[in-house]
Amino acid sequence: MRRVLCLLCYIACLIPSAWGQDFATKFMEQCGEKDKMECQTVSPKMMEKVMDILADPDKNEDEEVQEYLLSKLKSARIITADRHAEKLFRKAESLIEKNKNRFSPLAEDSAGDHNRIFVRRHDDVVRELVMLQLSPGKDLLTIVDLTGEMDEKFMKLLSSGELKDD
Amino acid sequence: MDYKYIEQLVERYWQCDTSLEEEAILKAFFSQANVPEHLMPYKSLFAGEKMLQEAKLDESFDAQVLERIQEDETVKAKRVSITRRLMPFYKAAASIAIILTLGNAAQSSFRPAEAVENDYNYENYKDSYDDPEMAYDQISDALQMVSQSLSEASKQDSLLREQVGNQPKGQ
Repeated sequence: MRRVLCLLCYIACLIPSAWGQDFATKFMEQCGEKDKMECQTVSPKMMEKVMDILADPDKNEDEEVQEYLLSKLKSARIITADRHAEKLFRKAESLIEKNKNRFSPLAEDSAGDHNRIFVRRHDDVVRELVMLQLSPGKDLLTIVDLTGEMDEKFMKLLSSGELKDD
Repeated sequence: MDYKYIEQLVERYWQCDTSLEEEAILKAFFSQANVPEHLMPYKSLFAGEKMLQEAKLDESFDAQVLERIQEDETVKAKRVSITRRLMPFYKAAASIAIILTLGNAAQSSFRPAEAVENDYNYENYKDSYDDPEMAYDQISDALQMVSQSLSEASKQDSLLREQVGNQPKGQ
């Protein structure tokens, strides 16, 4: 009886906290090596401000592409780690693996283990895109976590390789 | 013998008209041994009181009472276990847990489908930048990285090309 009650309380407390976490948040929580990583966050509010500065009527084609891509994003989180990068990369992979019902692999490089992209889809729209990138030479791990409503056009533009670097 | 007077007194007694003296007469009458049969039902009413007044406790009564008082009544202490003592708290905790669980379930079932899928809790996000220009640079860099990775991968992976709907250049 007591165990059941404790379990009920635990579940009840856990549900609201577990709900609504993106991969970056889960990774930062579960990785337990926050001091070795840096997480840059752009929230939906900041994203709106970014969209405001892009509202230029005389923009060129590249800027239009950028504006379209940003309009489809709600948030962006970039995690970087310049120590124990490989270990953290494996941890990120195993966390994705644990959540394989949520995330499906989209791409990996030819070696198959240093650059991986996963997406969470619903109604043909990508709700979350996670990229794990390991640069073994530099001992650098980069995780990019984008949330939003990334449609087919967004994915085409992104994968076209024609995105101009500012 | 005429008992009309007594009968009248009984009648007046029921109507609450008798004086104390008349009630004393009735008590005296019903206390005697020979009471006519038709008045017998009232005997216990009037004579009973006198009998109760005359009743006395016998000498052993005090002794009996004292004996009962002095009897050692073993009062057994109830042992209440911690589980039992904490039972109200368990019940309260269970109630709260059930309410929270049902509340969450109701909340999620009433949420629109879009909200369910886009269920990120953005309230917890803390911006790393105050300047939108810097945020823009950061996002651009991130998009650039993802774009390069996707582009590289889609050149090699036909499945990915299908998923994102891209054809490699020159095809």
